Amino acid sequence: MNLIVVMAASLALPCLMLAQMPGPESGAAKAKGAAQADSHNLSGMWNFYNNTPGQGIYATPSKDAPPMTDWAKARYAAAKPGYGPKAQAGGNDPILRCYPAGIPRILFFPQPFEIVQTPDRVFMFFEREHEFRQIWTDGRSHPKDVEPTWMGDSIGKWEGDTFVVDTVGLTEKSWLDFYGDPHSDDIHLIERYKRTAPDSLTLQLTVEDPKAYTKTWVGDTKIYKLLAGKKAYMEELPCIFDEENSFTDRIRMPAVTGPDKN
Amino acid sequence: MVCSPSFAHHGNAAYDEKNPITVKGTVTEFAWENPHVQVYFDAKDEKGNIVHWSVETLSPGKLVRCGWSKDAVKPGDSVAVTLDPAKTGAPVGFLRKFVFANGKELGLKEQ
Repeated sequence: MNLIVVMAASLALPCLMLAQMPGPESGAAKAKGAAQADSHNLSGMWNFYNNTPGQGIYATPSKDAPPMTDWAKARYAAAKPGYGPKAQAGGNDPILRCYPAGIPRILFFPQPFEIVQTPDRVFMFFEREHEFRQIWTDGRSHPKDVEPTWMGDSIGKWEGDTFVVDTVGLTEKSWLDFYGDPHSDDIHLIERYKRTAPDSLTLQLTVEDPKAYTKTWVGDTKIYKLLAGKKAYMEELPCIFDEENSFTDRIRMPAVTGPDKN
Repeated sequence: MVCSPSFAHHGNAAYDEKNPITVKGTVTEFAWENPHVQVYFDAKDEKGNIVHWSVETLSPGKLVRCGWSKDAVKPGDSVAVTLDPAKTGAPVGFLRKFVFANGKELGLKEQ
């Protein structure tokens, strides 16, 4: 009995210590400090929420893309997506061949990601592809010449209660979204995350890519909801080429080509 | 909300989402794999001929969050499958509701 009491007390001690850490002096300032500290906490498993038309899952930054340059028009013309205004069966979406979705497209999947914050980085772990990205929060700038990658080079900082992520170095091999909209590897992506409620995270993203779009593409607000309790579960979800092909042969194509005529 | 397949699926509208149908049959295969889990089942049409149905649903991870598992469905199970059928008339669909003959339902909604 004594041992249990001692163990329980020692487990409770760290919680007591945190509660008694020094804070701002006045009650109002203390409350504000606490609120601000809480709002800098993005951790949790987040799942894409909005199913409304125009910004549903399998999304695009916003319903209306800015005008494309000739470079982008040619890329878009060659794309055969499975979603959006040019949707078609089969197609040449690189994810059908298990190419990484990349940033920002992986953020539009209906599969959760988990945010983990460490002293110098914010990590996002994605169920899709079992992929992750790291966002440096130690005040560094982007390296001078960034070799383009799928997840890019990201730096982040807080502006009030909004976490602003700045990303460059994204390979143009990925599609920007599910609709086949292209981006160049000069893209400069800004994401603004805000935890608007304990179980709600919003994202507003901005695409600056003069090689592809004649204007900045300001995205609409995406909403993610917290997965809690039994639902706080993330699978390992790699893209398996054979399973993709099998699914295309057994489901995608039969659905559009019609019944067997024998 | 998390598990609900209420969103427009596949974007290319291969399925008739406005006219779901319910088909009763016997499971022949349960493909617990990516990108979408599939259930294959045989059902009799109005003439008594066996039709080989295929229905697709969410990814394994999403289904686990709805309470499914890789052993939740087995060949030989008697099921009533509500699905959005392919507009072409092919026996392929997108799953809306999955109920075993004994009345037990595998949910697709938040528990």
